[in-house]
Order: sequence, then structure tokens, then C-alpha cells
Amino acid sequence: MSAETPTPRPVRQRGQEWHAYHALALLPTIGMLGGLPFANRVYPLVLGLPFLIAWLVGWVIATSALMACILMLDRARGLASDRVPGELPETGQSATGPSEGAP
Amino acid sequence: MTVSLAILGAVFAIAITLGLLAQRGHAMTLEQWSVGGRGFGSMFVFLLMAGEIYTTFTFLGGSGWAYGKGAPALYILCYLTLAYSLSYFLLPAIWRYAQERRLVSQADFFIAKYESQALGMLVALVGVAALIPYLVLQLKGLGIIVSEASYGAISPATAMWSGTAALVGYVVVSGVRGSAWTAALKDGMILVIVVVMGIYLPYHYYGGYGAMFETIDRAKPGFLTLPGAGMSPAWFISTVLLTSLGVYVWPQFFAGVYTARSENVFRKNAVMLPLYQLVVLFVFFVGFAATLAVPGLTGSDADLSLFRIAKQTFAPWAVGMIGAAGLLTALVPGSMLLITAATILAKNVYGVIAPSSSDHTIGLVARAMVPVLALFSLLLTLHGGQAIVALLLMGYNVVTQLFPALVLSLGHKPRISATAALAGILAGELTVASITLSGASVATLAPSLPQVVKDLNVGVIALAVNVTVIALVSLLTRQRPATESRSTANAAVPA
Repeated sequence: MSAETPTPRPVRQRGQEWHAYHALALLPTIGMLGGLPFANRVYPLVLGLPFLIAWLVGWVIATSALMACILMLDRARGLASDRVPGELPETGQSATGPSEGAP
Repeated sequence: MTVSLAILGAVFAIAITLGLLAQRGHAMTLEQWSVGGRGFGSMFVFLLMAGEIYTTFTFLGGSGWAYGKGAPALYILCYLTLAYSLSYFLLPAIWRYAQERRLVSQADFFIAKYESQALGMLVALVGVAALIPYLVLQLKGLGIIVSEASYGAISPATAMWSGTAALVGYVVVSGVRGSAWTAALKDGMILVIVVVMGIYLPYHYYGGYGAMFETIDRAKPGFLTLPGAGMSPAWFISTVLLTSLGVYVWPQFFAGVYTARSENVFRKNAVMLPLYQLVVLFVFFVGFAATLAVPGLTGSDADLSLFRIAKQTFAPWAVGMIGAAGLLTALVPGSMLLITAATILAKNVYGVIAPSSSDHTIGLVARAMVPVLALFSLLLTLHGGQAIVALLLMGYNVVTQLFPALVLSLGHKPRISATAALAGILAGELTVASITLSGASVATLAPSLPQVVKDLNVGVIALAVNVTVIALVSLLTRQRPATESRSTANAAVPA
């Protein structure tokens, strides 16, 4: 059951809202490429794959998981809605006053 | 042999039919034709985005690299993954802006952001210059695939002519809807075929993955790791970073982005696509299996390794299926490239030269451009010779030069002037051209530098020149912006 959010938030207008957890999206780049000099080996094989391949595959899977976490956290904050323009009356792109959600 | 021909023909016919039927129930305005009326849900956008993964380049080139070069091939897996993590933030921003202004091309985006027609024209020309070699690559791949899968019964030239004719037909009629429908067929086929081959071949020839890689490591020591020099970790990292930035400045990708119905589509795709593209791994397994099973292919013949091992292993009907899937990997991306290039030429070149033309006229011009572009690319493919190879190598570096200007435009207002963006792109492109045409690499330009620096992808230099010029021009032309910020309720500041 989606409970009411405890603090009234303004309805988000547009533009990216940044949170600390968005930094998770940097982990694949740092981990996959940063670990490369150490992961550049054949043995030990992991599930039959050379270590280098296993390392990269592991990071690909981790990327999906991390992006899923970010999506869930964004959803929890109402930052990733399935808003379809046209269905909701949108305030245009110019400053027509902040269309606040009912406090 | 006749079986494989029949299968190739049948799938070809199904693809054309699907492509032609795709337009039913939609009046083909320019917006419908180029960006599907912005009505595609997650599934279609997913397929269009994923379409980038299985081009002929990955199908033939991915297995070819694994076959000929070994571990460096893995960069393909990495750059796509990193591109998807970036897409989570980048694409909703692009989509939102484009949707509000009903943009249909990449150049439109730059024109609107920088309020500069000149910049738009430059972006349009850069886009088309990069798209045509890419299209040539697809046609070349199509020729190879069909002639291999038909056991030589159909010549590459015949295959390219008929493939191009089909492409023109359904692209003119259905636009991007045709691409989306055929993409569904393509991904279904390729998924099954690649996974089956990637699992079966290692077991058939070596008895399993572990045994395969141990055998390869014994026969070719160092093949399964990145070498110390040349395609070293430094090369790998710089190439992955460069190409992952480059993915989203390809003009056809912008078009794919515009087709979405809502921005959330991209966030969901950013979660799913890394997993989905893991299937590329099986393409590599085919290439690795082929290194010892069908040895002796060198140079560009390495790209034939997938078909050679398939023909040595499977019955003709299976080879026909593989060929048919390969055929689709050329047609679907090819159709996106054609639509995008035609839209750019009609909207951002013709439309600028003849500013009074109506949307209807521009739509007609766009469709009229399709056969022209297709024929031009086909002739380049058939008669281009060595020059194409240079162009192809340039393609990625050419579009990547648009990246700084794109990112710097994403805020509320562009952070640099149109002049700076223009100068940066021009400087970057000139660097790319001179480096590519002279065949230089970081090693030849600066032989005294340490190996790590020498192995950097040469595209890094062009990007550095680009950014430097942007910074210089911005400093030189700095002025107090008099008309400041139409203050839109900025979301970054919670009210």
C-alpha cells in the first residue's frame, strides 16, 4: 500500500534532481575499467570463463542491479513516474508559476 | 544448399511484408515517419535501442575480433554497458526537451538549444557524414552474409542490390514503424541463434567452456588477456570510454530516443539493456570456438569465422537460419540509418535552403531522399575501395565530437555559446580527419611518451582539441549575458 508521503513535496517540474545514490551509476565505470589491470588474467577460470571475461561479465550484471536500485530509489521519491505528456495537463515550458502539489 | 536459399528468401519476404504492413492505421506525416509520432512504448523503444547491439558489426565483427584478436574484442561488451548506465540520466533529459518542441532530428536539438541555424547545419552535415559509412558497413555485411549463407549461390553484389531495394521500399512506406516491426523479428531470431551457437560450439569442439579456454590458452598464450602494448588496458579503457560517449551522439540514436512515449522508458531500459546485451558474449564464444576449429582466416577474412564454423558444423537449413538472422542485422539498423539521414537532409538542409516549405513538403523530400541515399551508399560499397575503410574508422570519432556540445547544452541553458560549440566541433573534426587520413596514432605522434599514453585511442586527442577550443573561444568571447534566464521553476532547487 502506498502510504502518503509524510512531508508534502512540491510536484517535480522538470530537469534532473540529483541525490547521493545517483553516484551508484559511476560504480560500473570505476569498477569495470579501474580493476582491469588487476583482472587482466586467464586463471582462475570462473564458471569455465577466463578471469578477465568473468570480471567484465560480473560488472555487466552488477550494472543492471545498480541501475535497478537507482530506479527503485527514484520511484520511491516520485522522480521516475510514467507521466505521459498530454494526459496530465502540463504547465508549459515558461514560468507559469510553480504548479505546487496540494500541500 | 537449396534449403538455405529457401530459408533466406522466406525470412527476407517476411521482413519486407512486416515492414510494409507496419504503417497501417497511421497517416505518414514527417513526425510519424521519422519518430513514430512519439508513441512507442517500452518494448519498441527497447528493440530500437537494442538494435544498436546486433548490427552486422557485432554479428560478423564481434565474432571476427574474438577470432582474430582475442580478449580486446570484449571492449564491445563494456562500452555498451557503460553507455546504458549513462543513458539513465542523459536520455530522459534529451527526450523531455525534444518532446516539448516536437523535434525530429538531432540537428533540431542543437538548433533549439543553441538558437543557431549554422550550428544546426554543421551538426546535420557531421551526422550524415558519419551515417553514410555506417550504412555502407551494413550493406557490405549484408553482401557477405547472404553470399556465405547461400553457399555462394547469390553473389554479394546481387545480395546488396536486392537488400537495398527492399530496404528502400519499406523505409519509404513505413518509416521508423517498419524498423520497429522488423526489429522484433530480428531480435527474436538472433537471440535464439546466437545463444544456441554460443553454447553448442564450445561443447561440440572442446567439451565445454573451461576446456575450450584452457585449450586456447595453451595453443595461443596471451590470446585471452589484453597484451602489454598495443591493445593494452590503456587502449581498452580509453576506447571503452570514448565509444560509450559516442553511442548517444549517433543521429539515429537520437531518433530512437524521440520515438518514446514517456521518459521513464529509458530508465527501465537502462536496467534491462545491460543484461540483454550479455548475449553478445555468445557471439564472442562462437569466435573463440572458431580460432582453433577453423584456423587460417587472417585480416578482414576473420569476419567470416562465424559462417565458416557454422558451415563446417551445421546442416544447410541451420546455416540458412543463421544467414537469415544475419540478413536482419543488416536491414534493421540500415533502415534506421536511412530514415535518420533522410530526415536530416530534408529538415535541416533542404528546409533551411527553402525555408517556406511546409511540413508536408519536407516529409515528401525526406522520403524522396531515401532511394538517393541508398543508391549512393550502394555505389560506395561496390566501388569505394580503400577509402571506405578510412571513413568507417572515422565514423565513431566523427560523431563523438558532438558530445561536448551536447552535454554542455543539457542544463537549463547551454553553458557555452553557439560560436564556441561550432568552433569546438570544427576543430575536433579537422583533427579526426587529419589523424585518420595520415594514419597517425598516439605512438607515431609522440614516440617518446610512456607506453600507457601511446596506447590511448587516438580519438582522445581530437576530443581534447575540441574541448580546448571550446574553452578558449568561451574565454575570448565572454560577455556579461544581458538577457538572463527566463526563470523556469528549476527542479534542482526544491521549493
